[in-house]
Amino acid sequence: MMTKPLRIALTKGRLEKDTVTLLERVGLDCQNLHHKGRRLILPLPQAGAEVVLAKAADVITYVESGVCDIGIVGKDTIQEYASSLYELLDLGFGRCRFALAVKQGSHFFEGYAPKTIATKYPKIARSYFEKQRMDVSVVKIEGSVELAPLLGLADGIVDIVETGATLRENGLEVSRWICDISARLVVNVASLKLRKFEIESFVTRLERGLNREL
Amino acid sequence: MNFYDKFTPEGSRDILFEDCVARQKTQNTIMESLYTRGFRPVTTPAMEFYDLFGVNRYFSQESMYKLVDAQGRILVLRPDSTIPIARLTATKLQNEPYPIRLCYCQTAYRAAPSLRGQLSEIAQCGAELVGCGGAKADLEMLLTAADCLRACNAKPFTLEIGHIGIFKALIDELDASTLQKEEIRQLIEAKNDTALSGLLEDLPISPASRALNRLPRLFGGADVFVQAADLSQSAAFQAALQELEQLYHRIMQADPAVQVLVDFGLVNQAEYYTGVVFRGYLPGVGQPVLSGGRYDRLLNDFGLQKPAIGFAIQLDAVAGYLQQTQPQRPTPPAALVYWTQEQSARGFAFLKQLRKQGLFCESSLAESREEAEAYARARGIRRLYVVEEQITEVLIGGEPL
Repeated sequence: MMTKPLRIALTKGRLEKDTVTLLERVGLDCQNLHHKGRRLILPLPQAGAEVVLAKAADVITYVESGVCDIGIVGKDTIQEYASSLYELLDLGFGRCRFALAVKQGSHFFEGYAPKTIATKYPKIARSYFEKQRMDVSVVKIEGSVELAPLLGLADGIVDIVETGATLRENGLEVSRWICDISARLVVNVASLKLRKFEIESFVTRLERGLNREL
Repeated sequence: MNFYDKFTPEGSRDILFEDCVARQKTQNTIMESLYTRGFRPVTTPAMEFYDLFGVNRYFSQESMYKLVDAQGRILVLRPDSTIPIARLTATKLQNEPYPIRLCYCQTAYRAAPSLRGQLSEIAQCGAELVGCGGAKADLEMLLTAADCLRACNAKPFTLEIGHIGIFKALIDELDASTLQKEEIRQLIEAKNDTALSGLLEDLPISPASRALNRLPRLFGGADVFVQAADLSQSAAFQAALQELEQLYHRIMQADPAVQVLVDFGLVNQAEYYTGVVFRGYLPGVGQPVLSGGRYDRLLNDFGLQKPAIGFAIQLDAVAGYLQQTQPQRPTPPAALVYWTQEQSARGFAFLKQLRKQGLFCESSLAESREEAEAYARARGIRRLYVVEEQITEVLIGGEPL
């Protein structure tokens, strides 16, 4: 069992690129990751590992169930979907922030009428307003969340904000910053214990790569 | 209109044949090894009053299945077995000689998050030792846990031990709000060093905060004790550390074959556990297959001042692992016995004779000999006995087993 390669679930897209850059910086040959073809499981022989490319929320599912040992995924996804895994490393890239955004000039926190929030992240939105001791009604939107207040469906949105350009262009503004997001390295609870040496050396290697960048 | 008459609810499932046999065998083996150590079996109701679990707040409202009884009182499907057993002990076993050893095999029901492939019906075999604090009892339960896993041939298993007193000693010294302390606990549980350091930096630096900062990375083998020795001079910390280290060495002495790990960052259910905590792992199984610990305050909730320690084994996880690593093959009956209506007496007598020899055989309910043969072929039964004036043995061809 122990000779099985470490299986790493990697979030497709931007985090994938940043991760490959990091892996190459620590001297790992990422040819297989550059030339994926139609393969879904990509060997990373120098690290004794293989990489599975997955959508963000699936990374959590794979790592928590133990079919993958390690995951690389945004903090937003961890907060929204994770229940039991180890979060060993802040990789620093994929930075953005969660914010509550409202129509420019509107006074979200005034008045007694219950507010409606549109979001792709119902759990994060709900827990933020629970901390504010505010009852809000949360509506899950899959696509452009910015539309909801413009159409009059919601009073505000809870979403990831990078530059704020999309908000401005649509007449919205940040009302409150909720929390910072970046890519994290997560590990299955049983794998970390049973494959401590392999996982720790991989994590240490990445950690060194991150420090070199600074 | 939707009818759900052909499906099982999410989080539940049917278990058939070999899987069912494997599960039953695992269950029997675990229970047998508990009986031989003096643990006496109990069963508690699947339905309990909500108050039993709702008042002590060990389980969140969302995780429990609720029902309403005829008087309008709220019931729940038990989300756990230890709390009902504590109730049972405190109410019905007050005059028993202590310590009391109890064991159970029953299902706990917890609403699993939707669409994650997790079970809501959690079959557990467990043991509780009530009325005995201290190192001897801790060791007894750890060795019992190891024996249970070994008895089902679930190898190579790994036990992991920790002590909630280590975390409690440090967090009690820390100058922080209750909310911050809970946040620190969660970060240690998630081994999230970065966020933990950030949070602790905002608090006044103290020996306790420096020590807490190191807890997430303090796991592994015996060397962890060396690294932890100078972590804190507080008496409570040193006492917990010593307890854990002694337990570690005593397990190794008593059962050198067991692989034991240590984790100082085992801080889940910190308000429930009071001392040693432990887990068991199997390779390739993503979650602990065994978990337990010392819970000296739980019985106080029911008015009984007794310490206790216990553990539960996740039956489906262990049986699933065994099915994967040592699969049970489907076993069709060794023979099928066919007779016509008028030969019933002879037929049954012959069947009885075969069973007496220890053969696993089925009587054929077919209308004709041809039908019986076809059934035997389809089921993979290799031998057919036709009972007439004489008994003929027919070998059934087909795929070799």
